[in-house]
Parts: sequence; C-alpha cells; structure tokens
Amino acid sequence: MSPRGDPEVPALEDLALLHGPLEHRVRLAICVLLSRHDAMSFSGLKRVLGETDGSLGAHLRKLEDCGYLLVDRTYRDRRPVSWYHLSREGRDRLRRHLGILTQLIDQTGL
Amino acid sequence: MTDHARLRDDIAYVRAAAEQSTTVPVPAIHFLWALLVFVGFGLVDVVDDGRWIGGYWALAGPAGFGLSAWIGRRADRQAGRIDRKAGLRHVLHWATFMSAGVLGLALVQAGHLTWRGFGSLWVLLAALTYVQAGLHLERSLLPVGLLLAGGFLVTLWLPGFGWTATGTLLAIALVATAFTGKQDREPAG
Repeated sequence: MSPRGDPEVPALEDLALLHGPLEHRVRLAICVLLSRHDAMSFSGLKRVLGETDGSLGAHLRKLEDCGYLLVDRTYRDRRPVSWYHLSREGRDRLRRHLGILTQLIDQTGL
Repeated sequence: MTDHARLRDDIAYVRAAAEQSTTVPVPAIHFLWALLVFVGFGLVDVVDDGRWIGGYWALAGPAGFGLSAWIGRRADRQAGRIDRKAGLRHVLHWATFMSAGVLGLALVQAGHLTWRGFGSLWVLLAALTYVQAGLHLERSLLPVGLLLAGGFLVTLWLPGFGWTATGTLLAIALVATAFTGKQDREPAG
C-alpha cells in the first residue's frame, strides 16, 4: 500500500504487476517494440532482439497465451510470415508496467 | 546480480532494442531522387523553354513521390515491420512541400515572381522540407537540407550553370546519405 496522499510512490499491488509476463526483459522488449509499430514479423523481432528462433518463439507464445499479442499469418513469396501486434489488453498492461517502472526509476535514480 | 542492477540492465536492453528498430534510410529512394534532381536541375541550364522544365517536374515530382512511398512501404515490410502512422507522417510531410510549391504558382500568376525566381523558391522550400525531415523524420536528411539552403543562394547569384552545380551537389549528397544509416533489410518471416 502506498503512503496515503503520495501518488508518486507505487502501491504494493502495483509492484506485483512487475512480476507478471513482462518481468522478462525479452517479453518487455517485444511489447515495447510492438507499441512503436503497428506490427512486426517474427524475423523482424528476431533481427532486432538477437534471440534464437526457439527462445523468441517461446516468449511470443507466452505473450500470445496471456492475451497480450495477436498474430496474423500471411504469405510472402510462398513463405509463411507471422505478423505480431499488441492487443488492447497488452497495450494497457504495458502502459501500467512502464508507469510503475518509471516511478521506480524516478525514486531510485537508476 | 542485485534487483537494482538487473532492472538497470533490463532497461538498457529494452532501450537498445527500441533504438535498433527505428526507421533507417532506404538507399533506393535516395538514388531515385538523386537522379530526378540531377536531371531536373540540369535542365534549367540547358533548356531554354521553361515548359519542358515545368513538364518534367509535373511528371517526375508526383511519380517520384508515389514510387518513394511504394519503395518505403516495401522496405519496411522486408525489414519485418508495418508502421502506418510513420508512413502517413512521411506522406503528409512531402505532400505539404509539393502543395506549397504548387501554391507558389499563384505568385507567378499575380506577377510577384518571375519563372526563374519560382524555381529558386522551390529550392528554398525543398531546403526547409529536408531540414524539417532531418529534425523530425530521418536524421541523415539534415545535411541535404543545409546543402539545399546553400544551393538556393547559388541559384540566385550564379547565373551560368548554378542550377547544374546545385543539382550535382544535391545528387552527391543524396547518394552519400544513402550509405550513412545502417541497412536493415532481411526477408520477413
């Protein structure tokens, strides 16, 4: 619980959000990237994040299972392309997560 | 690693990823405009009939604009991202430049500006547009804008081949800036 009358201090229940799916930095980076673009393909995310196919695929699946991501599967030159974009819930969660992180950074001077 | 250090490390990782995904120059667009500008500016010095120059830009301007939009969209998809808002920002930015240039025709029609002055006005508008693009859209375009501002003065005070000189400098600057940003195209998948 935050001290009464001090909105600058994150509440304990807010801090608990930091331990959700976005706790892992790769998943956080995926959501941040998708918040900056309408959509990114699997290989686009892989190039930027430098993750292996297996690792990135696992992180994307986890975010998809949590309802943070939506995926569109299309074809380009007869090759399948998966385009990922943030769901409304994913965008809300990311905003709250970054808000708490910002509060923490402001207080600790990271 | 302490929680504090891990958090700092994670933030640095996310920041680096975000910077890595920013828009980078698409060389094909720079080459296209280098060619269009080189020919279009050179025409002013070698062709007496102003209608040829107007006709060239009436065709090359919109065609280059449309082709640039298509190349940019394709390059973005190849880099594995879709960014409609950024695309729209680019389209509006360059469309504003073209609209301002076309509106400048009213100055000529009203007798406030000569055709030669109208050409220089285009260069001045282009300089402003490139500088703004360098500040807000793509940093590598900033020197091109500054060079255009210098070119504007050259077109005013160097009657013989001032346009060719400006066009050549611009073409070189555009080709050079095509190589200043990192390339980020890979097949999307």
